Amino acid sequence: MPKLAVLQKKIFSSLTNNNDELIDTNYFEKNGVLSAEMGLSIYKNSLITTLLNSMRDTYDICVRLTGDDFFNAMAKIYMAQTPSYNENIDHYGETFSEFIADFPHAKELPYLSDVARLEWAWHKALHAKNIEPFNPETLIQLSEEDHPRIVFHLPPSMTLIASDYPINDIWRVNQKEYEEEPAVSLDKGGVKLLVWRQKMDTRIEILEENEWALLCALEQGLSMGELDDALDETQMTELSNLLASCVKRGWIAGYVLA
Amino acid sequence: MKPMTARTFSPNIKGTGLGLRACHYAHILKDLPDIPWFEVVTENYMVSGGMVLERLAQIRAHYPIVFHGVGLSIGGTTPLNAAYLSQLKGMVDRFEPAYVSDHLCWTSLDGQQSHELLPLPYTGEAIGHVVKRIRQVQDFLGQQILIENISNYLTYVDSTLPEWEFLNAIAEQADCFILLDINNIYVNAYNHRFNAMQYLHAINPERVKQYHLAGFLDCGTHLIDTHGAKISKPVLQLYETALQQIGNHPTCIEWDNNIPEFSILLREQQKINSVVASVFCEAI
Ligand SMILES: [Fe+2]
Repeated sequence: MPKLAVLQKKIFSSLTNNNDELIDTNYFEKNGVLSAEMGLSIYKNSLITTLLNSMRDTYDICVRLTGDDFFNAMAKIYMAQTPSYNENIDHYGETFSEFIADFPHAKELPYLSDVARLEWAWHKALHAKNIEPFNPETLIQLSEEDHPRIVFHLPPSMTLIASDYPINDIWRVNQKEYEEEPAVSLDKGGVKLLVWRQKMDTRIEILEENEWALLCALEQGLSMGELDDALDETQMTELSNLLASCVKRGWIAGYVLA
Repeated sequence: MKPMTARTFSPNIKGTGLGLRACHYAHILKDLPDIPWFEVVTENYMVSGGMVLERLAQIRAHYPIVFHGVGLSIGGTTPLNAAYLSQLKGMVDRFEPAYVSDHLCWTSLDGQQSHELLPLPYTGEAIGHVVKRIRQVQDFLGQQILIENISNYLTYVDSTLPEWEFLNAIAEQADCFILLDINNIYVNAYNHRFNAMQYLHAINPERVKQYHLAGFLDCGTHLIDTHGAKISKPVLQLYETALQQIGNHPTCIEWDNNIPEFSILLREQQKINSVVASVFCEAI
């Protein structure tokens, strides 16, 4: 391997695994005021601060819920085990909610993982591809036999989230603009939510049970002919109304034939 | 949109521009301040859609922009990221920046990002390696790029050249241009104890197309390039020397941490304008 490649491998591993193995090597020299130890620690600190600031921006409600110290400590453990693979640091942190769900010290805030999921969904919606609204008149050209083969798809900005906690209220009362005491009664129970973006307007919507069932089925890629596997009898009888209302609200992005 | 022709270079920006930061979008679009151009951190706009791209398009409708990258990893030893390059090219086609620049450093390994501008040893091996990759990028984009000198905090035993010779050699052999960061020269000169004037004197003026100015943090023993403060007096003096020795080029003020109100940036910008005016005896 060329010398430069070996050098970069060593430095990268030292910085990202936060080990000191490089300090006593003969790769570096002190020709000014900075020793190798100081130099490496400047990069290590900067690397952690940069990722942490990005996490704090993306998950600012979680920061409010846990407080700075707890959040920073938790995020640093996550960061140590989760490499960044995108040049745009904004794409970092997608799996944080899964990490929180398994993080023993976060058990006292059982809704935290779902709030993180909601924050990521919001973040994803902000930067998702822009789409043209779906024109249902394009369905008219289809023949009767084609109908079971229609697979409707959802906008790329869309995430469906079910939680046992009123995470939409937790979200709302922890916004910077919210002026009252940020209190939410957990007795309110769970919610089924849809996060998406219409043009430039990112939104959180509370879904009815039947809307949830239909959108989940569509998210799985079920065709019209397969929907009865996922929907109950009443939902099936209401299907055309339900679909029409989803189309009208902009929740259907288009279709393909299976 | 007209296709790019290979090896053309048509700078159409002048004067002192500012780094574009999201917290200033609303102010800029409302007031349309008298700024000749904005510098855009390319990666911040590497998203599929949504508001940030919308805002960039709106700002671009009123101002020229330059693209300034932090993730190309031109000095990296694992292959250039083809997806990144395609995305960059798509953005260049859409937004038509006056310049495309990135840093003379490496940032990633096998796709894993450090989000740090890591220094290269100043060796013949590194020159050959970087030159090959810059040519690859320029061929792909169909245009010349600018590479920027970084602040660095490590000194490699292997280095056989001073930083300025390394930078000159790469620009010459790759046939690319230099974005000369005056603050980075000052920080490196302080930390590594060399003469900043000697650096400026040695830089090939033919290759320089843009300057950067920023503020650093004085840690007592050493300086850190934080882009989080006003431009210091000695950096302004160094800038003056650069204007005299290297020439008058578009200059961008970078401020990324503790970002102040836009009015403070405007005042910094006016300060730079008066330095330029004093050197070239221009009316402000
Ligand atoms: Fe710079």
